Amino acid sequence: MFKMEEQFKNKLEQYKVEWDKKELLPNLKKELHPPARKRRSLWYFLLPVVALSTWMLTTHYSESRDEHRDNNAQNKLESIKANNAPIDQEDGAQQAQIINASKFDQNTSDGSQKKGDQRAKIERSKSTQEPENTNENLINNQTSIQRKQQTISANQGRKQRREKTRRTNLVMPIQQTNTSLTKLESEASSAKHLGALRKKDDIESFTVLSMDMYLESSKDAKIPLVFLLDSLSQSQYQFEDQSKWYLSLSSDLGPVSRQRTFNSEDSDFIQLLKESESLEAPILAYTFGVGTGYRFHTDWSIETGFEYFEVKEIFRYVDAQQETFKMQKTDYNYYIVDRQDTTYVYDSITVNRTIQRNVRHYNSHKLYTIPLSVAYQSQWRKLRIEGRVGVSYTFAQRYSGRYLDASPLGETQVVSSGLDYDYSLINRLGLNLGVRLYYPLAKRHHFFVSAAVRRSPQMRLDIQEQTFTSYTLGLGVNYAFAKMKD
Amino acid sequence: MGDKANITQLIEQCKQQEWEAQEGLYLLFADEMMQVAMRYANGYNSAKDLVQDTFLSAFQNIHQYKEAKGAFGAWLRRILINKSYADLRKSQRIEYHSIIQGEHEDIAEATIIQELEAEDVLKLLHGLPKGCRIIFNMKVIEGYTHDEIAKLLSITASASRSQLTRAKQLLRQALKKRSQSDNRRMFQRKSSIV
Repeated sequence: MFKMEEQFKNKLEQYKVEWDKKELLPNLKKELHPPARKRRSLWYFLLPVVALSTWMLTTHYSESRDEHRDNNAQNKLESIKANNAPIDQEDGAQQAQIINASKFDQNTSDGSQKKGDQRAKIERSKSTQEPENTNENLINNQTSIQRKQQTISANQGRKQRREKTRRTNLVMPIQQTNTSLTKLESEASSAKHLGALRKKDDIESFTVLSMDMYLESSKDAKIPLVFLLDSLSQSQYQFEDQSKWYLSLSSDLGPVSRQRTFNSEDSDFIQLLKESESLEAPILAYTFGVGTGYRFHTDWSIETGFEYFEVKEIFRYVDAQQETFKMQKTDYNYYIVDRQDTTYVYDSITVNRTIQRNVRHYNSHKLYTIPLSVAYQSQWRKLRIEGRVGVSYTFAQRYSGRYLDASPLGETQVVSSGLDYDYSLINRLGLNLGVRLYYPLAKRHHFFVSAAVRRSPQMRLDIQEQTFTSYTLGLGVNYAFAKMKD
Repeated sequence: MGDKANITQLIEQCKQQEWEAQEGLYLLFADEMMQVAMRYANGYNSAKDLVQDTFLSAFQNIHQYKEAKGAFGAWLRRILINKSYADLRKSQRIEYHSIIQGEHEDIAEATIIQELEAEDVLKLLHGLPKGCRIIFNMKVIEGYTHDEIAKLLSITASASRSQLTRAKQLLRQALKKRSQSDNRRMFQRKSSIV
């Protein structure tokens, strides 16, 4: 070795670097023993939405099941009456008012002695007029009716309690409606697949979100919710838009809360609507959008397109109807209640009674809009956060369903003719504000959780001008068309 | 430095991916590796990164280490050198400089080096192009032969020789410049005193 080299070696070996070697330990530990991947961040956003949706579905399901059961019992009761009606048609007419069946039941069951007397009378009179098996049929029918009536009154009691707890201040000034009673669609049995993405061959790992819901009205409720989440390797989902222009499709569904503001405060009808706000409860909002955007900065873009926004509302009201029917001769028909007295009835009777039913109707309000928004995007680990603010031009809207209406005579009633009710648009400009959290499913697909506030245009229904502000939470899927890095 | 039995035990535990053993082994060899890394890297921060990458790679491939083939420290050094050379290959192609002058010994240069501080010598080394620096380090400091260098770095032995010659030429030039500037400074100081 030459002398210069030797000198170099000696000098360099003398050199001692001062450093804190423990400084590198945390990095080494992190690389060698990475902490278990936390997916909690995603669940923080998912869980409240899923829980809320499940609760809403379960609640509505069980309520509609109760109502369905009531309707069935009522229908069966009436069909039994109809079947037995011809038996006593010729026995003459005696009219009476029956206030309700349960009251009657209560009065007739005051003492066993009375019942015994009734039965003796029945047997005496029937033995001469009708064969024995007819009597047995009648008794069976009567027992069946009694059971149905008990079921109805129990269910009504339960419903009334529920209604009481929900609408303590609700006054329903409904006189009578000319409309037919609504048939509730609780018997629907359906399975909905809200979203499922299958594994592709060219992707090593991916994220699957699938949610299967089964709603069955018979027997017990079955609402299984299945979520499958798998990871997506980082290299698979990261992409950058090569082109500044992009096109995207997105759709989301979730619970909604709505606030209605009126332009004038002095109308009695508005006061009534305010008092009875629980009549109309928004349930779900659905959004579908096709949009095109231009990225004018790395994080900023401007978007426009077409957006369909629908809000499903439940409208609850009490429907009252006068009912007249002939009641055939049975054990219970031998005594009717009139001013707390009992009167012996020999023949069939014509009954006039008022039936009140709690009815629910599902309204839908659809807005067809052209949004114009400015969006800001930011990437945080796998998640992409997007904030969006803009205006939307509503070129059409449609409201279908029932609502409370102040008639020209000053009476308030439920309006429904089976047609759509058109709000006339006073102005067409609404405001949108939203945040979306995208989670990659595949290169172009994103699953997202959204939270949005929409202020609708000012609308007029009859003489009332009103504006809706909707607060929505949604789960959705987005698909982007753009040039991307492979 | 820990004794051989202790190191062997730590290596075995590292093969089981035990963090405590990895930490122990790192603490034993970190200083030595940093010394080496400072010669190969461009500066303090690059040296730290190099040390980190070296230990990461070592712990991830520790099952490939065979005690019979050499000491653990030497194995680590080889990883470090490979890392350093791989970085160079990633960032640029090595330029093979032609030899302008023949090798010659200059006693005056050796004297200048002797007068320099170790840190200044390191700075001179950092002034070399990275390819030259690696080969100079491997040949002069680590003591590898040109054949070994050629094998380790997947280059020819003649390329290794030419790089070394180039490194030495550049170092001489640097030393000459430094000597001239020192002389000028001394002259200025003397004249200011007069």
